[in-house]
Amino acid sequence: MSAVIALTGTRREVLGKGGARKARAAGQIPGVLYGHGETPVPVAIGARDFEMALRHHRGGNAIVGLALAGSEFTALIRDVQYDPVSQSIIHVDFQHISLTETIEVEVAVHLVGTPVGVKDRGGILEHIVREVEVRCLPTAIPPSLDVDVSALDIGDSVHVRDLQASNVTVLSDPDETIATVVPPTVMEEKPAEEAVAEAAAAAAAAGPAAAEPEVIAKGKKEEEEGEVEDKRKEKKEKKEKK
Amino acid sequence: MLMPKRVKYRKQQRGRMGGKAYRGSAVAFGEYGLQALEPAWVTNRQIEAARVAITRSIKRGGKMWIRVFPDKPVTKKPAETRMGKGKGAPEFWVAVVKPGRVMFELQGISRPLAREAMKLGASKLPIRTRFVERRALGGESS
Repeated sequence: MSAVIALTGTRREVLGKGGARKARAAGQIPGVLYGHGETPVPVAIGARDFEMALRHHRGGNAIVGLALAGSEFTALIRDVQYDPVSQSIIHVDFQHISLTETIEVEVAVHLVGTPVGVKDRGGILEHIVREVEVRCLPTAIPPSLDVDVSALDIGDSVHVRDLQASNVTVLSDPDETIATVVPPTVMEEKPAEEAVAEAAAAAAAAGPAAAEPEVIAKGKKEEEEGEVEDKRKEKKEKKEKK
Repeated sequence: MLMPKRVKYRKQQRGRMGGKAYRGSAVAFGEYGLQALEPAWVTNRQIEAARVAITRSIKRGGKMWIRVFPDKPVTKKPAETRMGKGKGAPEFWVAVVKPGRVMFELQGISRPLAREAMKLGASKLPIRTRFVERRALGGESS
């Protein structure tokens, strides 16, 4: 368990999209402090301070001591939102917690070692579940749960029930698969001419229907087309009469 | 080639590609991803070319996910046709990609190999891209 990280924030007075944007422009990260049966408090944290404070933190669950308007709150960083392009932090959720009450958090599962099936037989290690839900005291949150996969052969897998964690209760389904070793997928390299011929044959076999997907509303469309043709015929007949 | 099996309507209007891809912008299945940095219509041929380039690069081992699907039909009028007489026939399919979208993901191979494979795949795409990794708070890499 890592130590409580000290952070200083201010209460955000201007709320909503505009207020959040102004905070970001001023070098701050907008956030919210909630939980413990209290009214949510909109906050702003210095972006540089936040990044520096969490630079050396390992694991997904950081506990911070958030100094806010003269009082300090112990909080868990519940969620961090990133900008998809600039990758800067755009919002942080702080959950107010008590260090003496158990909480439910997600902890990363790390695979240790190289499986026998990968090393000797060329299999592929598939990491299926990367996080498990655990209940524990905030002071006992592990940075990660390590599971040894070095004995896995092709077809073998490790499950949530195989996790060995002290001071925590694993809440995820015990039968859930964490990782498995699957046989290698061998890509067949065909000569270019053969591949082209095969593709042409497949296209010919499938016919023109393969080029376009099935249209669900086709019946209706055909009816409409029929109506249009009827109208055209009527027009022609009228012209001929004239 | 990727295309829908069934559609409600054969033709679509062009639409707009505004904003960023807030959904589908994080590596969710594998360990490494190829993220789009520009908006574009990526055709099913381009997606297929990138897939083949990545698969050939990693040879055997590893698992790949394609996180874009070309579900938008693009129509074209035949050459030397006068204007009018209705909308052209569907010619190909595109995926509407916004900046931030993770288009391909890889798992089960080393970082340098994944980076090289993504580089080769990116060269088949009409946009600038970036190699990204799974993110956890505090800069931890899983």
